[in-house]
Amino acid sequence: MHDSLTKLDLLCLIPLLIVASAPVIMMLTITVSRNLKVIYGFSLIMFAVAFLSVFFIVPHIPHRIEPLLVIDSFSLVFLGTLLCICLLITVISYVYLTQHGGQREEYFVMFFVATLGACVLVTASHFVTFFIGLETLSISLYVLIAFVKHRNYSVEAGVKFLVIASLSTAFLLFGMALMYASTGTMSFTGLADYFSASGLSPLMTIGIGMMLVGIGFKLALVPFHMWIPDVYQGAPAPVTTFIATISKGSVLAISIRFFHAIRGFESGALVITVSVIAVLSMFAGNLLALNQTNFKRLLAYSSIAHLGYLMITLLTGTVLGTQAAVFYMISYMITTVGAFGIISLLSVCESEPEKTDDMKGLFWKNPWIAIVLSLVLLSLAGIPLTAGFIAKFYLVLAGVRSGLWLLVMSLIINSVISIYYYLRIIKIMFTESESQEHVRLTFTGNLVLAIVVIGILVLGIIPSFLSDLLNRFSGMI
Amino acid sequence: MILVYLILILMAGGVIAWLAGKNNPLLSRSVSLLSVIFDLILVLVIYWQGSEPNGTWITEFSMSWIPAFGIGFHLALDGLSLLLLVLTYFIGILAVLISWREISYRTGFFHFNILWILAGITGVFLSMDLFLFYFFWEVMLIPMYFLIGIWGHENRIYASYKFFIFTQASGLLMFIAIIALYIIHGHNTGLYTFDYQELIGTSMTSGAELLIMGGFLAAFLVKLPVVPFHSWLPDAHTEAPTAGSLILASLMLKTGAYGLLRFVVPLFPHAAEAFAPAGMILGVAGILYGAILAFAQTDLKRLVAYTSVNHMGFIVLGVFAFNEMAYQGVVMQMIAHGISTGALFIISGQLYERLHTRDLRKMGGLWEQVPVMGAIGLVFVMASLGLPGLGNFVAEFLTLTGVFKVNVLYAVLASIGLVIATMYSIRIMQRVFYGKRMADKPMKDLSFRESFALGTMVIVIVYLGFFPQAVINTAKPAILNTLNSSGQFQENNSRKGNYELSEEHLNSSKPTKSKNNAR
Repeated sequence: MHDSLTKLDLLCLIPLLIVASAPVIMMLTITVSRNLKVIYGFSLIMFAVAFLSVFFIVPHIPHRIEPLLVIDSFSLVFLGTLLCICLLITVISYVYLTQHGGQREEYFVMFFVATLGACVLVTASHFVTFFIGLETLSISLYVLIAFVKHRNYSVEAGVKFLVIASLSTAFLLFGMALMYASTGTMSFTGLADYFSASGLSPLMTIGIGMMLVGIGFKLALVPFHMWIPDVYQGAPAPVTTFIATISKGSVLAISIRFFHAIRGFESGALVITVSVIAVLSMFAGNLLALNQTNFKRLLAYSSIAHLGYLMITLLTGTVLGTQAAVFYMISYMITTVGAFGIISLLSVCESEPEKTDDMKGLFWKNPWIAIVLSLVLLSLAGIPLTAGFIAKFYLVLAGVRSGLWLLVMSLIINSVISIYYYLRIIKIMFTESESQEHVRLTFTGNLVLAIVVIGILVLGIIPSFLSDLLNRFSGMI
Repeated sequence: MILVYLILILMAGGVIAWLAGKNNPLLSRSVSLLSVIFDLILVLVIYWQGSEPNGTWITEFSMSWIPAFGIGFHLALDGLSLLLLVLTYFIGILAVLISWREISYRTGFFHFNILWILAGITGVFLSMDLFLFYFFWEVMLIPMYFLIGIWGHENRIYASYKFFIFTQASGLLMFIAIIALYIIHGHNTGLYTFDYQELIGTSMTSGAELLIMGGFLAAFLVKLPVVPFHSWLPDAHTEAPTAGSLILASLMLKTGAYGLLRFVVPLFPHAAEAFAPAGMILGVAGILYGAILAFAQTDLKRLVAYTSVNHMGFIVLGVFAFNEMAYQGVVMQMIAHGISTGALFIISGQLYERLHTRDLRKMGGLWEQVPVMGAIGLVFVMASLGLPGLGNFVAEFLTLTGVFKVNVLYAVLASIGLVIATMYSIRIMQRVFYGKRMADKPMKDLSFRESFALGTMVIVIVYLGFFPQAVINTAKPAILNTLNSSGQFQENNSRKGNYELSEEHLNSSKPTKSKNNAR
């Protein structure tokens, strides 16, 4: 253990430091004069710099900053993806915010703080950083969700999220305390050593159970999913994008790390619990989405199902499983940015086109957006040529290889169910509609959509570059 | 490389046609017509150049795609694929031609879909990597979904969902089976690969083999379709626009038959043999059930759709007979059915264009008004009932002879199906072209474009009926390969004696057929 940070430690923390310094500078700038454009440009630059700095660290991995953080290929892939996605969401947010009056500069401050929390989460290897990261993320999200406060349901969603997040944090904290009480360590490496030496005590089982509840709330797995449709619907579309991608992705990353540390895939009770949660999430998510007429709520339910699929990877306990999780999450993030991005880009003033019927005739009115949305939906459904297909292939492969037949079969059944509602939206897009208004997108908006399309197609057609990258994970676990 | 071009031309043509369609529908039509014609020329060049060399494939293309998982971009062409590709592009040209007038809105996107379906089908017929195969298998679906859902008839949305969900669900089962096979093979040999030739002869327990084959069968039998899984077919065929019905019936069903020959029999010889009795029963059931239901339909397109169920029964029956003669029949049936049923769909499409109904009860006595269409209709109705001299007769006769050697009862039952086929076929003629005239509206007979399309089909079906040897020779090496790799061929040969196919054989066998008909 170090007494102080070394130079190398600092170097490895550069992305986090950049993300942390940005909100401070912004706050100071805002006190001098308010200018949304300046703040926006500054955010873009900072995210871009942070993203590029990730590549400087690559030669130095794996590096542990004992005992709190770990910078390895796993965290770097997540860091890179998060920052990249944040860059896209920043653009979407700006386009969205220009539709609204009032003081909007603080949005980006909170945005950076939330991102910082997510970045800490993906690098955390200790209960303390786990908790700090999660709280930093959640607290800024309370503000972000209710940011456009005159929108319908916005404040309601904020309050709901506040209550649920506090509740889940309480569970998580209590679980951590119990774990600490029985193992005497709070770092993941310590836990891993402990679990490879001795088994579960009843106290620990309760502790892990509590933590699972907490994580379940954060990832919105059944039966802890009630909040998610309301929050998705109530939050401004860019913030929904953030919750669906950054927040979920980072929590998933830490869950994978934690689950591997406690070797959860070896304990029968845990495997059964997670399997039940996974299967329930898949079915509940997809069945509830079937007849949704609100697009944001539909995506909320579909995200429950997708997180359910991802639970399969936790149980494999193999490197392939982790690779599958990362690939799936990355492709899911890109796709989701596309889906919510379109909602935000199409929104005019306070009204977001969140009803599925708002998409009517989009194929003929605005073919470009419709094509992007179709690609996004097909990718979510896991149809070839898109990222979602390779991702699903990864999942099935990992699942079958570990003999998780029940889960894989339920994944297959659910893919079929889910196709129905994804196709329903596509169908709505190509039904004729009377209105002929043509929404013009800004250049940057189109750019975001183009990046999403390229991302989906590249991952779907030539996934080798990412799968080769993921192959370096072998040393991780 | 030429194989890759076949797919790329269609895909690129599709995109161009889409872009062109915005301002100039004619350009979009021409682009798609030209790209399919170009592909047809390419495969014909391959046909005339390549006498089969010593190797299995006439031509082959292979490069690695996702090396981390042993996935290759491996395309290869043998006689069987060659025949089916010729059929694909022939039908593809017709599909573009007959939509020339019928499709008047969203022309660009329509042709994009047509060409991408053809690209997917091409990929299916050429893929020698199971992952790639599944990839193309799915690529066919989405454009077909659009085709039915956008340009279909009144109940199109329901039909398009049903089509998509049936095929997707069964396809996913195949996907799992492919992955299971991949893992078992990797486990045995340490070589994780999806390559078809590597995977042939993977040893596994008989239980596993049966289960994995089950996954493949699910996809192929639904696509074919075989009786309990056929319910998507009448809806999809009926609601699709004419070009859609044509491609569905003539090409997409064949992918299921192709899958049985190419994958199920060689990859799972023991399981296929164990399944054969059940498979043959399914085949017979399809023949009889399809024929009876076809007889009861009042919707012309639905009637023709059920005849497909009937005809596809012969394919299943033949595949599980495991001998060369039956397999020749199966290949012949794929082509002949593609032409004859396709033509019947075209005719129903043209009738719909003129009468705006598909209801048989509202037709009748049309011969006076449209004699050319009537005459051509007669040819294909006769083909459908298996009249000697037309392609379908050769196909059904070969299949029945092959089956007869394995199981007399099924051959007899299947022949009874032919009798019912005669009944429904003649009913089409009677209801549409003969009898009392129902509609007073003046009708135009076939235009030059329409009679050109149908005329070439007549030529092909008659040619196939009189000179089937070309097809038989082309398909033969591929069929022998299938039988060899499954180990069935030698067994059958020693048991049943040798049956070389020659023209003499065919000619001498025609009287037997008429006996069947008379029964």
